[in-house]
Amino acid sequence: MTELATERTVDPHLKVRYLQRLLAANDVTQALQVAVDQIVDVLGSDVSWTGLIDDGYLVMGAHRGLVSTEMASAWRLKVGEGIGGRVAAEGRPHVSRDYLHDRRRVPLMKRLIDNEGILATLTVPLLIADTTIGVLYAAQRNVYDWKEWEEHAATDIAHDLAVRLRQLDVEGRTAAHAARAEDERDRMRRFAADCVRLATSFSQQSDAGAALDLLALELGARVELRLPDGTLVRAAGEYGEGNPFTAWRATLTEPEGVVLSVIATRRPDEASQTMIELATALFRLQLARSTERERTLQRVGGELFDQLFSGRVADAAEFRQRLALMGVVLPPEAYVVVVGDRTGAPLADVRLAQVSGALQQAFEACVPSHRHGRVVAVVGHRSRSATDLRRTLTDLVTRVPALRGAAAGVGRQCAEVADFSMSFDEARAAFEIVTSNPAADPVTSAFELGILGVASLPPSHLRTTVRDLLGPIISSDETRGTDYVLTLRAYLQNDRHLGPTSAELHVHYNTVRNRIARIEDLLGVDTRNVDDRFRLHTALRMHELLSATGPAQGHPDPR
Amino acid sequence: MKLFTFKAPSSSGNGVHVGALDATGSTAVSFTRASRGDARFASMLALVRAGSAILDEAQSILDSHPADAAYDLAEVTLLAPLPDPPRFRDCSLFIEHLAPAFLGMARTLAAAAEDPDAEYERLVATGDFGRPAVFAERVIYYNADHLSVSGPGDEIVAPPDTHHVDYELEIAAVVGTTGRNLTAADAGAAIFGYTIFNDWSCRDLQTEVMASRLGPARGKDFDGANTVGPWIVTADELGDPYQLKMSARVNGETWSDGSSASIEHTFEDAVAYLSRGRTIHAGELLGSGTVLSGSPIEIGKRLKDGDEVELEVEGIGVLRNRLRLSR
Repeated sequence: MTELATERTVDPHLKVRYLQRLLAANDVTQALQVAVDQIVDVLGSDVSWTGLIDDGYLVMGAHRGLVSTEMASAWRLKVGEGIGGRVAAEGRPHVSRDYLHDRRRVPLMKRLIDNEGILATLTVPLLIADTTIGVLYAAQRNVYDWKEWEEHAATDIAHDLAVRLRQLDVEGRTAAHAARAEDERDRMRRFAADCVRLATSFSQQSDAGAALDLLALELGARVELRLPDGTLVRAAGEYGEGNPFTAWRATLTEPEGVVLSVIATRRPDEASQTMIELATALFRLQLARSTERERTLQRVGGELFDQLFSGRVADAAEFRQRLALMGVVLPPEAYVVVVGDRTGAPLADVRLAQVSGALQQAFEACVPSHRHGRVVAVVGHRSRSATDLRRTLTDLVTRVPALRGAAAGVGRQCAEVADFSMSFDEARAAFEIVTSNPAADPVTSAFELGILGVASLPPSHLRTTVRDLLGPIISSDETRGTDYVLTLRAYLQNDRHLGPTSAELHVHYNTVRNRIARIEDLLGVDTRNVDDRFRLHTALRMHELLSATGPAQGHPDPR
Repeated sequence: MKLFTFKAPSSSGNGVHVGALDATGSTAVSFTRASRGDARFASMLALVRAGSAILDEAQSILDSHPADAAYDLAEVTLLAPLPDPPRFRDCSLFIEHLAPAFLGMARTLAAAAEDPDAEYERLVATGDFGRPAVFAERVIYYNADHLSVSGPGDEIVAPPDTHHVDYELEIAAVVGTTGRNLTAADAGAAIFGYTIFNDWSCRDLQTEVMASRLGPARGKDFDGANTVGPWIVTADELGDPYQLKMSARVNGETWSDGSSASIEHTFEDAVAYLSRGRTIHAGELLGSGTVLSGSPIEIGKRLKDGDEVELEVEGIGVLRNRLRLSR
């Protein structure tokens, strides 16, 4: 046996050349290729390939003599399974004379090997000390009895390869270590530069929304700003490819409870995470800065609007000039509109900003200001009437998310600076009437309510007039539970027709007739008389206005 | 095995694949690609219909697959694992959730009244909001919309006519066998695997239409209303499906906390009952119904626009979606 092996030993020149080529190989792939070439040259086998272990699997490292591209790209074997997998697991060579009938093969690999036409294999492990790092194959396309010298030769080739691989690995690790350190330095340099660039861009943005866009761009993710109730204030960016999830969420303190979320499809790495935190901090700063600027403008502008809405403008031209200096131009054909919560409750700062924003978007000319939890806007509207403007606002309240749950009152059209205070009084009164009656339309105009002019009268005057004209029936309603005011209003609104009035009130028309007779008696009026009717109409509207603004607060001074 | 349907990254040419998670838990192996066009691996429905023997082949591919059939899990987009079930029935296997859910609906209805407390008491007194005995006696179910299936990560966009959407924390079983008159003993083998099911429900619409006593249809059939995923865990891998912790988180905060141990009727009971004199088909999905505390309406909470809902079932995984509410 020994004789036989000596007889068929490997040509020393081939061996020397192999070692020279192995030493010349600069990386793992080159060394692997040198080894499979050596197998084919020395053993004269048809095919050779080698697999290295990566994460529990043997993966193709180099090959020679393969004819199918599928074998080259798809050959992959779990350590411990199939023939090669067992050689790798056990660290011992294996010979297969007739691969076709070997039952240890793995189904998928079987197909690849069969397509390749391989029938006999000699598989040796690549060992570094006791550790297997891969396997080396020699293969024939016919049934073949492997000789012992061939097994020895393959084992030697594998041994020399493994030694060179270890050398390369040690060298490689040192080089990789240096490269990693260099990479890390590069990354930190880039990161620092990114931070500076981001901070600079933020500081140049005048509005927080643009800063949000920038943040989304920087992160390659979607960024959302939401109110505590979930209402979306602003969003920027796209999710990107993959399954999106909330990668970061921060609750801001200013404005309170507003949530900033980053929705991404990849978990951010450490650098991105730091970048997000930095950007969030910058964004907070940005938001605080713009909020502060808004407040200053509001305060300065507020004083001017106080004068405008309270009618304390002495010199109209000079006043317009001062407004212009603030960047405010009063639109021609303007109306004052008061917008607030449907329940009358004051709106929070964030909602005020949202409502103002929505109005500014909806109307070409709109100058909003915030007063006592409501938005008071001067709106330019090139239409014939307040009714048209009311329709536009009704549409907005139902359609625009920021205006849902809001109510609005519209005052008269303003031609002169002096008109604004009356328009404001009327808009506010209309708004109060809407909020005091849950069944009313959410938007109404003073014109439609018939309170034009009345709204600007001092409340004491209104109270006196109402008491003079309707006092006896109001006190009867209050003390004896009668429905005289309601009946009178319905009767007049129905043009003194008993049928519709009784239907509206759900009472018999004789009841209406009796009540009207009693009312006329109590008030000393005759509803057939046009002057009396006019006085009663006016007094009823004043009464409605007073009820809406509430007796306790009387006529609160919003100025 | 954890089986799923996914879209490969666009850098590798996209395409929808059926595959499984390898042992590392971070690699998606595509059976569609590894099998080089084998029709049985073309879709999850085809795979389920191919019978249980295909799982051995799938396992062998998973163990030794071509390198080009493996994708980093973080790079792929998971879709609904079974996007086209031939039928989808949601059963009331958990029945303890029903009482608080019905009372929650009465509470919602009563909220609009002038005196909500009095109205609530009146509604409860009608007996219409109690749990009928039939839920304990039989497997009660309704036909869910099998064309409105969504998957992990999908944005759930509520229809514009609702303003009250709930998640429902459920498990769904995938039927693996087509047959009739299966006995409870056969039924175990007829279940292919399990996944997480979020039965999104528009409570306001549901309350309106349920007055008709014809089911919750309008409240539960909008596009994407039935979310399943993130994968199907085969029955052999999951083990006992009736010992699993189930929880739901909203924006990271735990809202629901239950266990499949409180199930009243098992999935096997359901399969036996549903196949009695009727054909049950491979690929059908059966929802479990909501586990106790598994829906905001039971616990007096309410989802809002932009909320991220995560349903987690022990041994299966996490199903994560974001809700979009238009009002």
